[in-house]
Amino acid sequence: MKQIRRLLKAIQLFIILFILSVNTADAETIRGAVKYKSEDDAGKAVVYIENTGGTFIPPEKHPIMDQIDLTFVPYVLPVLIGTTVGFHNSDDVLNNIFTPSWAGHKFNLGTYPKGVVRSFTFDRLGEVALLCNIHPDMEGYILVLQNPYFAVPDKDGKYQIKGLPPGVYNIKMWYKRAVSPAKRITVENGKETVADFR
Amino acid sequence: MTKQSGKIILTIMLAVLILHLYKEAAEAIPVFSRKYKTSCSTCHIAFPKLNPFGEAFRRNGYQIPEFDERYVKEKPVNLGAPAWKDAWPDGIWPGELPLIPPLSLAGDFLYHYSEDSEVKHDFIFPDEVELLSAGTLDRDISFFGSVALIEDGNDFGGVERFFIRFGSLFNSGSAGHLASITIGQFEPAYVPASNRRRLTHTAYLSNTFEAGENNFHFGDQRGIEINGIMMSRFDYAIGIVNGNGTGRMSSSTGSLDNNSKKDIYLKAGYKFGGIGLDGSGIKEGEWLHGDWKESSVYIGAFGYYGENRVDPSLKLDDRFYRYGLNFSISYEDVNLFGAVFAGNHDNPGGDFKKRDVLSYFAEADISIYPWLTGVLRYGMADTDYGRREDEAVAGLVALVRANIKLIIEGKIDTMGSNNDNGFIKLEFAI
Repeated sequence: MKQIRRLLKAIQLFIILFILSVNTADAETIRGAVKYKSEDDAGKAVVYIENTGGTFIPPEKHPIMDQIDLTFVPYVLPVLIGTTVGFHNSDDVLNNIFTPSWAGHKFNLGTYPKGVVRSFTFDRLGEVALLCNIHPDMEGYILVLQNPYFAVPDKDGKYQIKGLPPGVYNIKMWYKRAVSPAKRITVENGKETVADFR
Repeated sequence: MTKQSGKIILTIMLAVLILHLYKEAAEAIPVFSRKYKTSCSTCHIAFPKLNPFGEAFRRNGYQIPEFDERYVKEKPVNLGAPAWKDAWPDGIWPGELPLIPPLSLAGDFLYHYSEDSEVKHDFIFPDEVELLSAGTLDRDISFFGSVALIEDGNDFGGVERFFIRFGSLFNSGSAGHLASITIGQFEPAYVPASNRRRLTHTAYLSNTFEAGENNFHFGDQRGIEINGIMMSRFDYAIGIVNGNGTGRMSSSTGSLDNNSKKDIYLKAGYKFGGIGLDGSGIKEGEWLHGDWKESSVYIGAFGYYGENRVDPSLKLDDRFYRYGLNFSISYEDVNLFGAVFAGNHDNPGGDFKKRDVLSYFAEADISIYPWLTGVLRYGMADTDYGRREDEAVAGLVALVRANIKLIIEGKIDTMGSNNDNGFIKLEFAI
């Protein structure tokens, strides 16, 4: 009996290790760099994988688009379709948030003071421009994407996208409303894929 | 607060403002140099004559073609985020304002020797003081204005040019320069050699001569012009103008035009070799430097049809036309350019006698050093009144600094009527 238990534990351990190893092999990394035209451009690009097929479950935790010093922070927030975004106002003054974009149903969340959070669920793919009708200089973007394989490059322009299964994909860069031509990449087991954007 | 303390505060505020303005002026160089933090020589052979890059910059609405945003060092104030374009018509289309008011001051001191004048030697100090402003109100909207604060030594010259230009009316790829529209008081594109961008003190005779009582000449006009560039090489312009220059309101009509008729014009040209008229052919990163030699040939044709009042009391008008060719050849350090044109007036003297006109000129600008240019010009104008004018101009134009220019020039009346002139002119712009 004791031997059978040991054998079952060994099988259990084997299965766990097998699953872990399979997951690790599938979770390949795409990395690369985006060349900014100026220092101000950091945080204004998104690198993403075009349609991968399949459906994905939006995150339970709502990503935040804040308003700090009369600026949308971050400048661009990429989200998976179906994601609910929380719109904060951290300024001491009233701010308004609305969008003229179809992908955002042309919502207007109204004008609200510091501390108030309003939400919106993005169920259409595309770019959503965010504006404030009190402070016309304010501008931000929500990029609603089909899959969760995206990244905002860091201040040096470097990015990583993890968890994409092996296969052939199109990778693109959104940069201040312009979308780069697609790059064809092949993600293979155990290999790192590099895609740079100039 | 007492009245006196109010005055003191006002005086202090004024003093602070003046000191601030003085500080700005002391650091300042003209508008575009300040905006892009580059030297005048980026656009000018010697100001105000443009090099090929400066010409492309001008034609592009005072912006660097394609890559303007990257080179602007003095970022403008946004009048609304760009995404407001998406909100239109429910919001105002976004624009921009220059961060610092785009003002420049230009002036000159002129020594004039005149052979046939009672006063042979005259110090015209200053000769002209001009306030200039130019810039962009959006990516494809630009403006230019100049006011002569002092003209010919002591007159207020008033507004010389003041116009707004809407560029890239068909803004898609290569069609970006297809059509632009200029509205205001400007130098029309048919003028074969710009009065405003010449190197010499002496104006082109072809631009200044007038036939009889008709005050039309190749100068600034009030009107509307559509112009553009096709395939980077072919340019055109079509316009409608008052036709009587930029003078004051006519006392006979109570209008700026002196009759109801509008004048129309057309021009077209083609550039062979060198960079494109729209700046194409220059690689990114090669824009801002001052060495723009090229081998090129530009050939253009133009025509003008108008009607101008010659006798306000009898309300007599003169119908007239001009047509001609112009060219510009650049090779190494030499730019040879000129024009020939003819025309006819049906009543220039108010006596119903038809007159023909003929004029031509050629000028060679030779760059001896980057800071020194030699100029040779010959021009002729015959207005069929039995009086033919012609002149030869020779001069040296030296850049003491990029924004300080010295002109030493002689103008000889080749008909030999003892009307020779000499000029020494020191010109600067800040």
